[in-house]
Amino acid sequence: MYDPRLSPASSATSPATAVGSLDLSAIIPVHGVDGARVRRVIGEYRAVLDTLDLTYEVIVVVSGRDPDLTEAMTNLAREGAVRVIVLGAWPGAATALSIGFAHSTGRLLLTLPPLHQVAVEALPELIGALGERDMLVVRRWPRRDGRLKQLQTRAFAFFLRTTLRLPFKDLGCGVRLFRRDVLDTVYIYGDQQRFLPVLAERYGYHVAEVDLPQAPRGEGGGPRASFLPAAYVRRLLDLLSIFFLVNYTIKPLRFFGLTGLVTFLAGTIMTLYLAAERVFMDESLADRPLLLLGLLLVVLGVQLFAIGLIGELIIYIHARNLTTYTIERLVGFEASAEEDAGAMSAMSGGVTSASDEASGGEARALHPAADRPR
Amino acid sequence: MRVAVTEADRLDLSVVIPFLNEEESIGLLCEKVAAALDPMEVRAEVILVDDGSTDQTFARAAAIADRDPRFRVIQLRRNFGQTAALSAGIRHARGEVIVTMDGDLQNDPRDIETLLDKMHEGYDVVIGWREQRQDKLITRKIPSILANGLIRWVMGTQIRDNGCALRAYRADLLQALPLYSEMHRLLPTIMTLSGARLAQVKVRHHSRQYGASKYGLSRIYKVLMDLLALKSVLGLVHLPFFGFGAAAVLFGLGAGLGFVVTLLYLVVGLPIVVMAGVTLLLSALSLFMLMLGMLSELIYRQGPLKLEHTLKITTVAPREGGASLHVS
Repeated sequence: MYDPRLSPASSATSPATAVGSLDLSAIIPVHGVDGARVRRVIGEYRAVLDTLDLTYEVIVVVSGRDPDLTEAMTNLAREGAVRVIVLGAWPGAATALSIGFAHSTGRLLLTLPPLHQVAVEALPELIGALGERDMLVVRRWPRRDGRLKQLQTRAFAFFLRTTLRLPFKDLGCGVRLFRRDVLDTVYIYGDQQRFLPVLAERYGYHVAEVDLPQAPRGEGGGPRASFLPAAYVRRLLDLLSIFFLVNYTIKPLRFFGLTGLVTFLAGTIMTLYLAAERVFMDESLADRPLLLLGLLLVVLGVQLFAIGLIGELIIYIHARNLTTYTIERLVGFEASAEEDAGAMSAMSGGVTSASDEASGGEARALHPAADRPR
Repeated sequence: MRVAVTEADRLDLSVVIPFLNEEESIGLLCEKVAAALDPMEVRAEVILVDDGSTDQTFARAAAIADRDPRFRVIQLRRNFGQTAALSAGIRHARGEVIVTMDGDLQNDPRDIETLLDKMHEGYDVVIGWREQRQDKLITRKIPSILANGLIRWVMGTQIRDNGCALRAYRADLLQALPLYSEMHRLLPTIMTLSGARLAQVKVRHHSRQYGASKYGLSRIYKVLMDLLALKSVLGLVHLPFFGFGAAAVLFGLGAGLGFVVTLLYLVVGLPIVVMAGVTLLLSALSLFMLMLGMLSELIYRQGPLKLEHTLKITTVAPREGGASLHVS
């Protein structure tokens, strides 16, 4: 389900061609980097894409807060090299991606970082490797950067694997290739671009990780390792947000209810214990710090539970717009019934017959949504 | 929530059957369903929902759909769970009545007619009741008895068997309901609470012939939390401010009482730390509930929920002229 908050292409950047008329749209969110370097990097991306036998466009989504960067990108657009979308403020790379996607026309989407993360010569290999899968994420391997940065990536992957049972080894790499259908279904915003593969897999898309060599450091290379504690805090928050996204977005009370109940019960037991001592053993309550903790926990427990209920209310009220499943194909349904399937055919729309065949059954192209005009 | 259907496409009956890795059962089940539908004079369709099976379930289902135009297949991208599978089938159903059943041959398709007959008596939901359940006592029956008792107690309904998948619903009511998470078991309960007329009929139940049970006993915690959530949400949904407002008043009264007692302690000369603490705590809670009440009011007002999604509304035209709205 594509989020209606993003209106389709506005007049300024409106594509003259219809969706699906190009083979590939490369989307590059650009923020907080040097304009001249990005310019060079985009040139190299284009040089590689030109060698491929496909029609493509490059869409740059740039933060308008940085006038130099905006100017550099706008100049690039004037030269006809790219299409540029200037955002008034930077809403996070995932939102920028979604906006770029809304203005794109390619059947395949390729997200690229503004500075090299992956050796640019390896990109054709990535595009060739998609096959019948819906999405490819890149793991930078072999790595060429510092040990600390590698260790960070590994530690993050280790946590993902052990705590959430997610198999991805390098979610920090911004190079991804996927079918249009994926972003039609999965709505990402803020800083969620990292988790797009996780969410896509949850919607039933076939996601695979491929190894591509990391770009050498230096000109146009990625930023050097950050040793800032802020980076670690960010990672931790990332982990937490995937945890919620994966587990409790539909049933908030299962989480808040448990934490709320445990807190409430702990508080109640403490308070009852103190009350019993007061009544039966004549101990004074006023100088017991435990009372403070007990009461605090009681209040906290009630609040957590109540917030869980609010969450349930939100979900229930919006439930009719929730996508709880995606359809691979329909057999025996008339085209007319599918035409009006609303959100649902938007979900299953754009499935190419290639991915249909990938799923195991015989090639029965029964669901015509792939060719449905938008 | 339904796929838009023109009146001409409307059928009398849609049978929705979710499957998960039932390659042995599906052929036989579909034969039985077809045999049960043949003598009945209804325009019917059977929607087979493949919930991400990894075996030959989809291939066999598609083959059946090729032979018999009454059968249609929806294949989900991966395993999304029984509720999602049912929800997909229900959305695509074109019948006036939707019958759901399990894909494991434990329900008997011959009971569809029994359910339909009951529906024709004017009920909105008719659910099967497995009087003689053919399942293992410890792992299936006892948890089920406990869960049913819990549901009756929490929701205040009289449904004997919330686990029986064989049910008939009036399509327009069912398709208006939100359906997510693991709510499918509670659908009749939700519909009863929104004013639907419910009947229960005894149905046959067979022991499992092929394969293993896919949807095992649900963990009691999940059921309890889902029930609590549903109960509160259904209670809150039409009077969003009321629930939290009532809690706020309750805590507020407690706080007022505590305040008076604190004052009395002060006058008498007793230490007031504890009472003052309790008073502050209760007032904080009261304020918090008040805020949440306002928040839920806001959520309700801004949300896309329509009245008819949670309330059965019947219009009865008077004999001569005018129109009156009767909300049941």
